Amino acid sequence: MSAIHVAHTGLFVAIGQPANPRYRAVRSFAARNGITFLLPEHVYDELTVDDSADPPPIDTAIEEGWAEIAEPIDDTDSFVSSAMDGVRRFIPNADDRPEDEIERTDTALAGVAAQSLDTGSASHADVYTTDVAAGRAVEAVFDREGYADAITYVNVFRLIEELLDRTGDPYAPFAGIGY
Amino acid sequence: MSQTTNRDDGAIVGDLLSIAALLEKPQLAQLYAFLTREGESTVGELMDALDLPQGTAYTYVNRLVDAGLAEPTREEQPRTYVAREIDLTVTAAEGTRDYTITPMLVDAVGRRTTDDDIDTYIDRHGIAGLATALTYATARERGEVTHRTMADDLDISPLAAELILQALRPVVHEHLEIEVSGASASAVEDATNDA
Repeated sequence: MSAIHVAHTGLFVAIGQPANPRYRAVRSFAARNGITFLLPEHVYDELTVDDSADPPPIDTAIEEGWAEIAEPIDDTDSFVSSAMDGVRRFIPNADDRPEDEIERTDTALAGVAAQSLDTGSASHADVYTTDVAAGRAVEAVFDREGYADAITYVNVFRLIEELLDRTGDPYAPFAGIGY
Repeated sequence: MSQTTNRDDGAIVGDLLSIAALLEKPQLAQLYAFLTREGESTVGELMDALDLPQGTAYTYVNRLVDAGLAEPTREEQPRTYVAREIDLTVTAAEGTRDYTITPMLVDAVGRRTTDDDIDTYIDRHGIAGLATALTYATARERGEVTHRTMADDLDISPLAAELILQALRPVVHEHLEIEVSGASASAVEDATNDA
């Protein structure tokens, strides 16, 4: 069974810079399990906007070979577009802008997962996000399409906490103060 | 209006001013948040936990006591102090919106001394902006909004929204009981190993 690992913006924000124990923990997790994180194009765009003194290290992860940008999403495919529509409806926009004007990363997660399942290039998709609503939406939509067993919503914070617990890092992973 | 009511009004304005002072001074906010979280503490415990010199710790504790935000619980040495609960709801003039100032907001402000993302966000958007961000951070942990919703509503970049939402997440979980959903590393590895 082949699995793909679709990453949302929050994963590459949460791991910090390459010297950070969180970055190292996730990189080793990827190496140990033969994982390459796939980023929808919109996710890559969000991460590379010039808006932070410490830009997320996505290009470093790509150079190191444990992250890559996903193939463009073919939303003319009915399964792909139906998965994306499902997520779009599950998480409504708070403002009045037409939905198609907004490049949404939560729908792109569903699009990349659906495309891989549909073309048979993967039989399982793990979706890594910090947005609880996006994770629940993806699970609910694939469940409705009959793909409940083929999708897992991975909570990025739980993932990192568990990995750091195993390394015995003396600091609480997200305690805030002093970390 | 009765005499008592007038005194009550004065007390409310006094609370407002005390809380404003707390939000202006992150070290005071941090100390207040510590007392709220840990309960009864001595000045020595505050010095150790927050890495404050003795003189500074006494000054801050006295300021909290003077502002009515903390009180000594016993007179014998070493004295212990507890936080007085903050629960002040501010209603906008037209009465359509109100906001309750909570220890969670004070805690978030106090963390700017140790968290660069919170500090930068306050520099850009003020304490008021941080209060708004905290509302989004709570809603995101409850699965009601995403970082994208916040970015669109506030006209900031999705990356800026994600950074502050992550910085505020520990504050939200410290103060509110919200169930954490989603799988962790073991679930991914179990599936990989079964393959």
